[in-house]
Amino acid sequence: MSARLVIGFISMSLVAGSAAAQNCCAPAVPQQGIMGETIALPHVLNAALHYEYLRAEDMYTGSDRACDLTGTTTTWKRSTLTLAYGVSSRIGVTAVIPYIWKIKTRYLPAVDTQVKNTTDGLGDVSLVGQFSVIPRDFVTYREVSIGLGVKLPTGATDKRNYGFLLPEELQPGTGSWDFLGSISFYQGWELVDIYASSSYQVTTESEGFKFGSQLFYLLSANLHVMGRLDVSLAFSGTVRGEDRQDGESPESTGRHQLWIVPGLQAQVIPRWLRLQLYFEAPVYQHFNGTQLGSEYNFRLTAASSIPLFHGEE
Amino acid sequence: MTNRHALARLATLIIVSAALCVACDVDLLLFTGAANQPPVISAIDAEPDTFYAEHVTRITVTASDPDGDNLTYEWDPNASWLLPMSSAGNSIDLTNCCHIDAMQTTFVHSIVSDGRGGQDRDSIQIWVLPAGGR
Repeated sequence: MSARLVIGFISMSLVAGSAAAQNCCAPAVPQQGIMGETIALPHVLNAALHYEYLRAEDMYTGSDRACDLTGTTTTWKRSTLTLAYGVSSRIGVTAVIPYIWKIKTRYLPAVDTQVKNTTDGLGDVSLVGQFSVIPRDFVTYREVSIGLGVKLPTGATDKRNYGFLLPEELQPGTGSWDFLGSISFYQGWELVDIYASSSYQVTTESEGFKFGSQLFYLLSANLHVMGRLDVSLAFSGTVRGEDRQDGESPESTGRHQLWIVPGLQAQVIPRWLRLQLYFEAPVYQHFNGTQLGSEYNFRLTAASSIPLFHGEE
Repeated sequence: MTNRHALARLATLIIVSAALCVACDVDLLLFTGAANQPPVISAIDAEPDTFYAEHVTRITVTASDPDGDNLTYEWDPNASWLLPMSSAGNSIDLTNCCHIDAMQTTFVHSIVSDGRGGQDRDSIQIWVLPAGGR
C-alpha cells in the first residue's frame, strides 16, 4: 500500500516548500523540506534555523549552456526561522520567516568594469496550516497531510542601490500575496524513512509585476546509519511559470529545475538539537529563453523540538 | 433685535477668526522664513540613449533649487532589466541586468528632492540592443 502511494507521488512529480522572488537572472531558490517532514507532535513547538547559500552561474538557453562573456553570478544567502506547532495530532501550523541577503555581480568586458549590486532585508513571511488526513502513529509511522498557506508581502520591494530602484529579482520581498497548497506523504521504517511532497504556489500581481506561479516537488529518503546519524538522498524540483509585467511576459522567464540533494542529519543533543546539512546540485535545468542557471546550493539547519505543555500526550 | 445681535456676533466671530488665521500665518512665516520652493529640473539626458547590452548608459539630470537647498537624486525604472553601476550626484550609470534577445525600451524617471518636501520629476526613454548588434 505504502509502495503504491510512493509511486503515485513520484509519478505526480509534486513538494512542499515556499518560494522566493526571482526573475530572469535570479537563481532558483529551493526551500523544499524546511517545513519538516511531518506535522509537529501535539503541543510541541519545532523551531529550526536554516542558513542557505544559493549560487547561480552560467547562462543557459533551453537546456544548453550558453556563452556568457559577462561571467554573471548571483549569490543568495538566506536565514530562515521556521516555527511549527502541533495543535493536535491532526492539525499543525507553521510560520516561515526569512531574512535574505542578495548579491549579484556582472563583469562588462566592453568597459572592463565589475558591477555589483546588493540588498538585504526581511523576506516574505509564510503562514501555513496543515491537516493530517492520515495522522502519524507509532504503529504504522505513516502520515498523509495537506496544507494551505499564504505568503504575506512583508519583504521590502523598494530597495535601492545608488538611489536606483532595484529590479524585482534583487528585492527581498515580492510585494504580492501568494497562496499555496501542498500534499505530503511520510512513511517511516526501522532503517529508512521516505518522504514525498508537492506544493503549488499561486502568485498574484504587485505594482504591475507578477512572478510566475510555481510547482515544487520533492522525494527524499533518510537512512538511519547510526544511533544519532542519518544520511539522506533527495530529488527536489521546481517548475516555474513565466513572470508577467504590465500584462506581458518579460523576456526569458519560466523554468524547470531539478536538483539532487544528498544530506546528513545528526542528533547532536538528544531531544534538543538536531543539525542537518544538505548540498543541492542541479541535474536538470530547462529555461525559457536565456537565463542564469543554478550552480549549487547548500543548507545548514539547527532544529529543536520544545514541548510546551507536559500533559498526558 | 435678537437676530441682529446674533448676526453681529457671527460677523465678529468671523472677523476675529480671520484675523487669528492671518496672524498665525504671519507667525509661521516669521518662524520658518519664506515658504519652501521645490527644486526645478531643467534637463535630463541619456548618453547614449541607445546602448548595446553589457555596455553602459549614463543618465544625467540638471536641476536647481530656488532656496539653494542640497538636492538628492533617486531613479525609478519602468522595467526590470536595468541595473545601477555607480552614481555621482546628478548622474547614474546603468547597464542591463539580464540577457537581452531583442531591442527593449523603457523610461527612467528621475526624482529630485530638496529634503524639505519639495520635489520635481522628469523622465527619459532609453533603448538597449542585444550584445553584438544582433
